[in-house]
Amino acid sequence: MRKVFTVLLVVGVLLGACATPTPQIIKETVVVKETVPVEKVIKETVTVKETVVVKETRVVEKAVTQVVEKVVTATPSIPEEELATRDKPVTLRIGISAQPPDSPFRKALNDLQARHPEWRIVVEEMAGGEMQRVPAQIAAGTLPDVVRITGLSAQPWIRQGAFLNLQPLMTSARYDVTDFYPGTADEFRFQGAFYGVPAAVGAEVIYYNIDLFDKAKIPYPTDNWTWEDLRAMARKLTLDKSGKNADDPAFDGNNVVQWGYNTNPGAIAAWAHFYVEPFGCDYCANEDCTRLKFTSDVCLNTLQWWADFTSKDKATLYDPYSGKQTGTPGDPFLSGKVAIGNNGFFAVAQLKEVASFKWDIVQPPKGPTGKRVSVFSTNGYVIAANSKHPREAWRLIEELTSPDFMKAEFAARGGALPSRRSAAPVVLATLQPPPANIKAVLAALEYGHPFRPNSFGAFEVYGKIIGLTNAAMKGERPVKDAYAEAEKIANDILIKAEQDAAQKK
Amino acid sequence: MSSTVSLEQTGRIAGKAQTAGKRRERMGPLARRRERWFYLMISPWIVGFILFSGGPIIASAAISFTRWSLVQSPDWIALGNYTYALFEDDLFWKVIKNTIYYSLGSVPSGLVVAFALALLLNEKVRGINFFRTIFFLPSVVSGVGVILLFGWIFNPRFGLINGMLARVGIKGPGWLYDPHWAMPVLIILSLYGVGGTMLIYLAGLQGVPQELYEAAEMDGAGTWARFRHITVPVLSPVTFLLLVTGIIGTFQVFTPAYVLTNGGPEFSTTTIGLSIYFNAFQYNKMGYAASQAWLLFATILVLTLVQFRLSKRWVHYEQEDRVK
Repeated sequence: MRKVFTVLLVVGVLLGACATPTPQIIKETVVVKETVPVEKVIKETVTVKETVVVKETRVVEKAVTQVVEKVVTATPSIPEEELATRDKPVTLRIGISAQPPDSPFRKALNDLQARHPEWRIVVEEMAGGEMQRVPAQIAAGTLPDVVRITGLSAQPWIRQGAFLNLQPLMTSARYDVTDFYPGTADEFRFQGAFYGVPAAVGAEVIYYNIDLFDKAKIPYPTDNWTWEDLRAMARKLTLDKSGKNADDPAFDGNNVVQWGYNTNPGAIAAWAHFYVEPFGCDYCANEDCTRLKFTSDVCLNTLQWWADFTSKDKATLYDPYSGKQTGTPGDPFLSGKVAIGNNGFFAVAQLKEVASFKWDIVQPPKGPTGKRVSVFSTNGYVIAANSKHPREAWRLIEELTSPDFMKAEFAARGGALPSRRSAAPVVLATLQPPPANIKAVLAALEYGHPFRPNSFGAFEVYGKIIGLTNAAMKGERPVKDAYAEAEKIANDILIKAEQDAAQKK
Repeated sequence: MSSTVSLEQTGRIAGKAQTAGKRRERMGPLARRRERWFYLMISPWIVGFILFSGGPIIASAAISFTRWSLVQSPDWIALGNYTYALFEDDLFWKVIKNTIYYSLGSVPSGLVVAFALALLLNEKVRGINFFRTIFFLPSVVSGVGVILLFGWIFNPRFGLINGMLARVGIKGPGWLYDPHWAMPVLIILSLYGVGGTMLIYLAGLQGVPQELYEAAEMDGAGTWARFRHITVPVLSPVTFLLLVTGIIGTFQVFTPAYVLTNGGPEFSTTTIGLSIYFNAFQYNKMGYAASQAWLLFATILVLTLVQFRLSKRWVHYEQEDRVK
């Protein structure tokens, strides 16, 4: 018998050593009282390698099973009867861009994990970028349950059925979407249904260098300014080697050392709404923006205005980021060589780090129509269409997009802002020092909207017309010709994408 | 006549097979053991190849006959991608032209420069090992870092090249920002990594039998004649190897164009490798990208076969010559 016991003990120890170190719930008892929070007593096994007393009679120096007890509070989102049948936490995989371990997001997620032991949240950083990783994971059927993707990428994947329609879950949870800035919500909406919940937003606003304005003795822009005002200011703030500005007849446009404004001719393709819509040009030829029309009179006049600003006035950069013109790669506004720059609000973080000059923010100018436009860079959470735990994934999204989580994630950073009205102003107030004109950012969040086109084929459109728009802005090709060609290329791509999608159906 | 030849050939092959079979029967236990060990030793590579290269190769062939965005299930469209590439997509022919331009520019110039450097570094002078190290060093420097450095050297306004040209009164071109000059810059950049080729030539040069030079010298051959009639022919197998691998490599070029120009300006540096990447991972046209990859493979295969066929005219194998 002693031999039998010894054999059993050895076998038990060996089996214990082979067990997974992951905590496993072996028993749970749900205790329900009428008015108190639901509590359950859970016993779980933990494998530890240390000296442990077994049956209080023997000492074994091997990996053994230790029984521990702990009490956790049950989440109200999952019915207790279902919980009672569970024997271990639900593993929820979440795909995000690279986040340092000490990032606010990671800290907030750790807190969230501690509050939800019924989940085992596994973070998967999307090395290689979402453009490669997400489609590859969709094809392989291994997309994480919850993925944080950029808004610009979302629509083509949504329209191909890659993500779960969240509308039923949102409706049953009575999820309030009115708290989100409308443009951010639009990024994840298709045919009236939500396929994602926005998290971060960076509204495009205008930055100006106070020192350069002071030096030129030009009044600062106000929120009531127009694009013509901006152009006039930019001309005065653009200086050649000898210090002459662009209004001076002797100005040497080939030797500019300081620019009034920075735009990006490529952006006139990809971010065009920001530049042309205030002038009355809406190049989306249909509601879904799956056809483009650049060649209307109003659009051609607007684009010519921009081409003149770039290549005749030479008061704005045509290639701001490569360093070709400024000698400094990256955002030229950060280098102090540009007096007025447009960028997302996320540039605040960089400015706080590197700017050696005073700066502030102002709303984008109005056009002749009186309209002003901001575009968004957003990201948000989606659920993989084949997720095995859609309900838990949705609960996780609810938590990740709660005002409290957002405040914890975004506070004091000066990067992106929360997409919720109830969280963004709070986060803005935590910035030290805050931009003086905080209300400009909040206003832009209200009227900003997504990039368009953003349907399937949009990236190909951007990639294939950018050379033409560059050439037009630099004055190398007539605006009318370049944009007529761009329009044809764009529509050919979008029509083919639509035909392919129709065949698929 | 042809049927006779065919029969002869068939007989020869059958004979060889029989001989091989008999040889195997005659193999002793040691030889069989060695054979087993041979297969055991190469099996990790074979298994790895089948799993990680062979499988994807076969899959890519199948994918090339489909329309597939990766997100939805693929649709069979037979040769649709191939006909689109060859007869409808103007950009495809432009990227083929760009790729040929790059290959024609960088392979011959790379071979000439590497050969010249190897000749210099084959001289028996003091400190030659130092110079060999210096010239080989660029080959082990991080590729992207060097590429970015070249981007600045060729910056039209602040770059070293245009700065030097400006000193002698010449206004330099826009280089990477000019559709006519961007590809030449990439070709020049390719010369930076010529150290590997140089090293192979150097090894080849050190294997040239000295008695050939001595015999030629006794016959009154000068330096040029010795180079022309001994060095070049003896090294022709090396040149052939480098030519074949060089053309294959340049047809697959991706990194410099991706990092420096992203295929621009005006698609002037969009090579076939870059085009495959764009179609697969930016435009989500995986089927079309796979078809381009197979067209690239077919092009490289044809070019390599042509090179092998033409090599009989100019490549001299010492052993073969001696047998003759």
